[in-house]
Amino acid sequence: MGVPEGFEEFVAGASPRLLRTAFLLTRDRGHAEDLVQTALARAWRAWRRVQGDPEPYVRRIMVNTYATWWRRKWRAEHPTDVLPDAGGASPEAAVDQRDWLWRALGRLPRRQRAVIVLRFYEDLTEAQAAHALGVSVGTVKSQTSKALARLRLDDTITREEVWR
Amino acid sequence: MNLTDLTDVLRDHAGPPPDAAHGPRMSGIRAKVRASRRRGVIAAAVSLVAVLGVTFALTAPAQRESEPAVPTTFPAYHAGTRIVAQAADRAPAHEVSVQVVPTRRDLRVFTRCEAGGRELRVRVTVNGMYSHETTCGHQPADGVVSWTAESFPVGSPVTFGMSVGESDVTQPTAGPIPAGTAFALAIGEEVPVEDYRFPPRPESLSPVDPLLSAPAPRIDLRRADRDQPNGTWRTTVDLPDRPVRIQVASNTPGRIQVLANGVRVYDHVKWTYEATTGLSLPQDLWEKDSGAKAEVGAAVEITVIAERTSGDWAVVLR
Repeated sequence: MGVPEGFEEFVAGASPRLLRTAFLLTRDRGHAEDLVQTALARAWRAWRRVQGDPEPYVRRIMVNTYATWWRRKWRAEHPTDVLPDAGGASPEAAVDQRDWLWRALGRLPRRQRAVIVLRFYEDLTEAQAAHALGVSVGTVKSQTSKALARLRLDDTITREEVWR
Repeated sequence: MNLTDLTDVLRDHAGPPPDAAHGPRMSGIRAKVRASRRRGVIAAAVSLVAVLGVTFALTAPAQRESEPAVPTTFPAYHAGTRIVAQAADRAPAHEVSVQVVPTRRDLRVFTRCEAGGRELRVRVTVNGMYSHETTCGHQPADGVVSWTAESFPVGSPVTFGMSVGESDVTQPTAGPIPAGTAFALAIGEEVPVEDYRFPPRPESLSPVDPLLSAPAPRIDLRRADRDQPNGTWRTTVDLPDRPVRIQVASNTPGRIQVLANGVRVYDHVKWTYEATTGLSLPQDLWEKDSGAKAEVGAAVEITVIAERTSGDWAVVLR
């Protein structure tokens, strides 16, 4: 099975960057590797048709794979409308703000998390994120808004429980 | 919380570059490409059968009039669901729709296209409103979406639409549909294992052992007995001095549940006769999911409950 020209070099060069994004999406190194390999395998088949920089194309496959048909495959996370009990910690045991924010990100539904990663880690514009996810700019706006609202809600609940 | 925090947290957790194990990664990609091609061959065979079926139906109209419509694209039971509605067409048409009156909210939407291995872009609508985009053409059953409660009311007609076109990453929307493309949309209701109609059993099955040839040490619980599809097996094992992953492999449909000290930690359900493994679940996740607790190095009672299995299965702790 011949490797398309330039594909292996692309994998060697782009994998660390793709893995970082995949890890932010999946929060698991093993799942991130699987997600990256899945996206690259799909890109392999379309490699000759990809023009210009292939990385946005692979990233788009990866994010969409994560947000759509991996729902059934993965058991590792179950987004819920009910925020889990943050635990009755004392003020002294208050978790670091960044730590709870990371945990709160993990509680976001996948598409919202994908939007947040694209907007705030990849630093994509709304239009670029919309293109990467295959949705409208309006959807990116609404998903971002919902995600941030949810993070702020999580913030409020966590802080109330910790500091009241 | 401010947005700077958010960016910082994401950058912190993205961390340093993971070990770039290029060789194993390329091997993994090759394996996925090969598997995808195998599925493509199967899909092509299914398509051929479907085309022959359509041809037969068109050439025998008298007989057709007296027979119920036969799904030509998705079988009556597919991927854990019973198909309640489906529609198919081919280029130059580029969209189809189906209407269902949901009696429940766990519907699943399947989209599929056959375009000579090309990846196409699919847009799905619900009652005319954009729902999501996915791709098709590189797998027999792409674009599986589980529906959630807020998507539509139970008891009222809902129209699902699908449109297909070329997937061009430089364009915000799908392009024209390639000539010769066939595509289909189906809506399925989830069915419990006990009620699901499995596909016909093939004469021979692929072994599960090659799927589990990862480095030892590991703890295996396995059986191979098609005459005992249901059963419960218990054993007590000493866990190693490190967290263990749990993985299940099987080569027939059915359900395999794994319990640790009486608490279900793994639920493996499959619907086909392919030899496959489930997710290799690390201990922190199976403990988090289930509430079970198994100390490293301690003895743990492992229970395996099998339902409607008829081939080889293996439960591996490693």
